[in-house]
Amino acid sequence: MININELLKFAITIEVSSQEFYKNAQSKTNDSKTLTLLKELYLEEQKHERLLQNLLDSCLYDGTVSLPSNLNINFKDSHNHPDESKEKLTFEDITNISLARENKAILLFENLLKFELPEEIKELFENLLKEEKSHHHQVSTLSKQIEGTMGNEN
Amino acid sequence: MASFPDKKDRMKIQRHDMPEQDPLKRSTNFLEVNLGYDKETAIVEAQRCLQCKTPTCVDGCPVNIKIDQFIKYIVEDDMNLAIDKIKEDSFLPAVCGRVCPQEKQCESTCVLAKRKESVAIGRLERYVADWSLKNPNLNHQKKTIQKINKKVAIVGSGPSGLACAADLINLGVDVTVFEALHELGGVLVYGIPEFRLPKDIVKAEIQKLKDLGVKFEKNVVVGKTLTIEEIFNEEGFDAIFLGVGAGLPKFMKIPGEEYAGVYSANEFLTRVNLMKSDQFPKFDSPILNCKGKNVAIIGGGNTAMDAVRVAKRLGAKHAYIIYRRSLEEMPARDEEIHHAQAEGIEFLNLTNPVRYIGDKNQKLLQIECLKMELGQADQSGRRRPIPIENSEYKIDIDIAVVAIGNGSNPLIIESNPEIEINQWKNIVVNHDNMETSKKAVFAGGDIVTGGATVILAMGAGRKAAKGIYNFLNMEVSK
Repeated sequence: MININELLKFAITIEVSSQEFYKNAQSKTNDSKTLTLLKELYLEEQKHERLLQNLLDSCLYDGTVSLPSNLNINFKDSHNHPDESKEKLTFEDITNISLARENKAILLFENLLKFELPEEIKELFENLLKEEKSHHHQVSTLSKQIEGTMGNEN
Repeated sequence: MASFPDKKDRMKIQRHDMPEQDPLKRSTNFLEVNLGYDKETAIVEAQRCLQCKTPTCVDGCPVNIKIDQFIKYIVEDDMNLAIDKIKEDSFLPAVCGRVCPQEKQCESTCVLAKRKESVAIGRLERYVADWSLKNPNLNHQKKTIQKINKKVAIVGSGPSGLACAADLINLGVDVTVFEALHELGGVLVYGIPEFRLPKDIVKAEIQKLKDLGVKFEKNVVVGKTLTIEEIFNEEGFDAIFLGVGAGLPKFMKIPGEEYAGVYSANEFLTRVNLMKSDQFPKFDSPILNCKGKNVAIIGGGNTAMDAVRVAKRLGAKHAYIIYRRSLEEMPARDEEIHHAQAEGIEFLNLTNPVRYIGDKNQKLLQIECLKMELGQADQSGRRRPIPIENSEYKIDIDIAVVAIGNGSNPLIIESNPEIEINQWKNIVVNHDNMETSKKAVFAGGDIVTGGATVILAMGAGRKAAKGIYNFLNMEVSK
């Protein structure tokens, strides 16, 4: 079974794959606002990658602790929002895809936390869940910022 | 001189709480709630920093302050270098150290937050900034600026305008800031109460800009007393930056909003913060007396928290927050919510007003509310509030303050139809340089994004300054 360090490395590959998605998607729009959003999301995913790398380097967790064998983690980048395969992508498509991607990660950790876990792993998952929720918030803010719709506080 | 302890020992140091006024005492005065770290606390808190090879905290800051570096200078007890390092990227550190949502920005990307508590970056920034304000002669950020023969007008003296002015003056541009009100600072003075951001702090930060040569003209309403064309053609400016903010209050459009006793948060806060109506009749702008009354604030953002805490300080018997989602979705800063709870603010979450009820003289008496529940999350994870049928109930309220956001300032837009706007009437810009559809006119801050945060507005102002400077240079080379 894989250990914490391997799990973090896997998570980094997911962030890199998201970067590739946002980079490639830039060819699917001519709209400047959508292009700005895609560029910003690409940069955002780079930040996520750096944070996970930082977490790995910092040794805050004992990287040798193995995950329980009964954990069912799908070790593939399974992002497959139906709009991702569209030939042309709108601002709304990108916003929905990116929020769905972040939400999928949230659901993954919420499900994993339902298992009986060693303390080290449980704490890691709880913190990664918090991190994914923060990504979801950032993506939502970014989209509103570029669209000019921030500040509706109710 | 102190130094960083061994990494394992650093991780054992607990995050230091911010000393603050006692909640019961502070809910009766307008003095600042947070009291700030002392030097010893700041140095020990700074020693918690792991000095990461890749400091991801910098990624989390909208203006990319070199956080790891200024923290290193705090540990070395060299506050001069610490403030210089911060000022390379932010001109308003004493403001940002107080009002930035650090827990959602730099502190959320501090690697320590992934297992323990993050370094208290905002509190350290505030400590250094306050030290700098108390020791102005010790600052050694004095450099000779090569003047270029170009004039830029900044419209609005809020955070985006001030940040833009600071960068441009340092690039040798002649800068004049036009402000519509009689006080400088925009939302920093009319929107944020004294107990969260003292006016003296804002004044001191603005004074630094004046010292650098930025000129300020108050009581100039661009779009009304002075037009954009006049700024270009009669005043001879080469470019304009519009940082006029989002100052148009939004209402829910429910029955009874016209009743006496229903305020917009903008009016309520401006009357107290800027026009000192809490000191009526010493100052001549009155506000309905909150003393012993039931006051409800509608909304869950920072403005709502500010308004409800002001109402409490004005003597409200019950000061309520009415918010249609749950506490978890509340957009206000965690710290503001905690402060409000500690001060005895009552939260009516998952509650939505449907109408105001008044007496025969159209004076507010009650609010009728509907209970809400959060629906299933959609694919994006968003949970929408759904009304619960037949859950209406009434609550006795004397004063209601609507804090559900602000729309864009309409004056400039209406008088300049050639400036492209979006369907929410915010200005559309090229996000690479913040230029609008009108040549030589740039924009940033809430007028572009809608009501956001001080630091995001500052980031936009800085980006625009770069765009304006490049534009001015291109004009020279033509």
